[in-house]
Amino acid sequence: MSALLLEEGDDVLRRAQSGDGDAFASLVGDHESMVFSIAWHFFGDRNRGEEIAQDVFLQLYRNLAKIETRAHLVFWLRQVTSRRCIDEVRRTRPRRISIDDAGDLPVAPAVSDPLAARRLREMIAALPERQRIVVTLRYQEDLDPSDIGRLIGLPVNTIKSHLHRALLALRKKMGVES
Amino acid sequence: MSLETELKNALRRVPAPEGFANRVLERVRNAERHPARSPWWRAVAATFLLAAILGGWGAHEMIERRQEREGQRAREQVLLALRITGEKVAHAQRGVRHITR
Amino acid sequence: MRRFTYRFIVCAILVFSAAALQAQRIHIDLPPSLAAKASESVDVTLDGALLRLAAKFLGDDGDERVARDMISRLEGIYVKSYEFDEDGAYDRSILDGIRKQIGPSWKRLVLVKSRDRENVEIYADLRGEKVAGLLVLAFEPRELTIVNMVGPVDLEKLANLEGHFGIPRMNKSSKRERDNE
Repeated sequence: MSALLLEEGDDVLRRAQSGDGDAFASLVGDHESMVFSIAWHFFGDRNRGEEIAQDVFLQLYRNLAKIETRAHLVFWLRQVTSRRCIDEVRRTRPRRISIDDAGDLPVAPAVSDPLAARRLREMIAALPERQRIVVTLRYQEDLDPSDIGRLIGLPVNTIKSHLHRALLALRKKMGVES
Repeated sequence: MSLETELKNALRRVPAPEGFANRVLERVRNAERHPARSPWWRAVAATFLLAAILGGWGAHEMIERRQEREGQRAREQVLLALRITGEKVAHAQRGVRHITR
Repeated sequence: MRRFTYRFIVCAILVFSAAALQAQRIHIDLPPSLAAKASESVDVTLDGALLRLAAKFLGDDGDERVARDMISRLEGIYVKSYEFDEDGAYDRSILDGIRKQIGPSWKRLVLVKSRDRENVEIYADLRGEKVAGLLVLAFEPRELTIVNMVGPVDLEKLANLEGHFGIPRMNKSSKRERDNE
């Protein structure tokens, strides 16, 4: 990313912090896919995903002054979304949807087997919440275990352990020999 | 295809639902609306009124809300317990099926 | 005298019923240090009153309807489940204390054994042809789960929970196999 782009990004942030509504809308537009996708992949439920994503951006609006840079914004959004997802699961068990009720899901870029991808997402949504968020952050956001650990406040070895167990569980469920 | 590749495919970012940003902005606007300020004497009168009724209807409301909370919590625990039990039974079934194949 | 006999019979029935109920519940007494060592733990204690309360809050559709049907006649559900970050965090001999409570009316329905994957033991308390209780022991190097259900458990519904409550239908072949059984 060029220095110019970085400056532009930070400029939008500063304007949003000064109360520029359009600038805040621009921040939402830039990051809504990331936030919604984390929540949707976590719950396997589009409505739930949108609810959480909206809450996150409302929280962002209230905490804009604390955000220092664009990079910090991305970190903050990932962190708050992850924590909201885990808190929500602990507060109330998510309503599960079966593969037949999945309905109108957003279409992801082409994958080799959409049904397999959907099944895999359902399996992920059935993992224990920590494993679920670790897998989502690792494979959706391409974060390494140390970044994930910083985001959700767990030691890197614990993250690796959650990832390892999640992959084992998924392989077992898919009938693939590790 | 390796599991890791499948996971990356399955967990790709997707567009947020249409109109998402507008709905966020609407919520922000609603959150910014402040309630109209009342004269100070209205606040005092409201406080006395509230204190007078708290012993009656207020207490009943509190009991109902507590029962609602307990009921929701019990519901969550039932769903959790059945999920865990179902997973273990399903695993056992797969084990038996694997042997009898 | 007649009144005394009548009261005696009613009390005897109540005591016998209570004793029968007691016999079905398995006490999942595990050392408190287990929860402290676990990276994730679940502890569910639902007696009859709480189950009836929960039923009022379960919805009419989908999973919640299935749940309401399943718990409708149960007198208790007790679950303890722990996940650990390392192998060997618990001593498997603690399960012996639970197995010792299994009385003569209990029958083992399923035993899945593995050295390094999940082991599952499922027991049912059978009174004639009726199920009066269920016990599930599931354990692997980094996970321990114990479930006790008290009351008439619908084993067929339990066996068909795949696809509900987030329990994935593992693959199409498993469903095909079930349909062909």
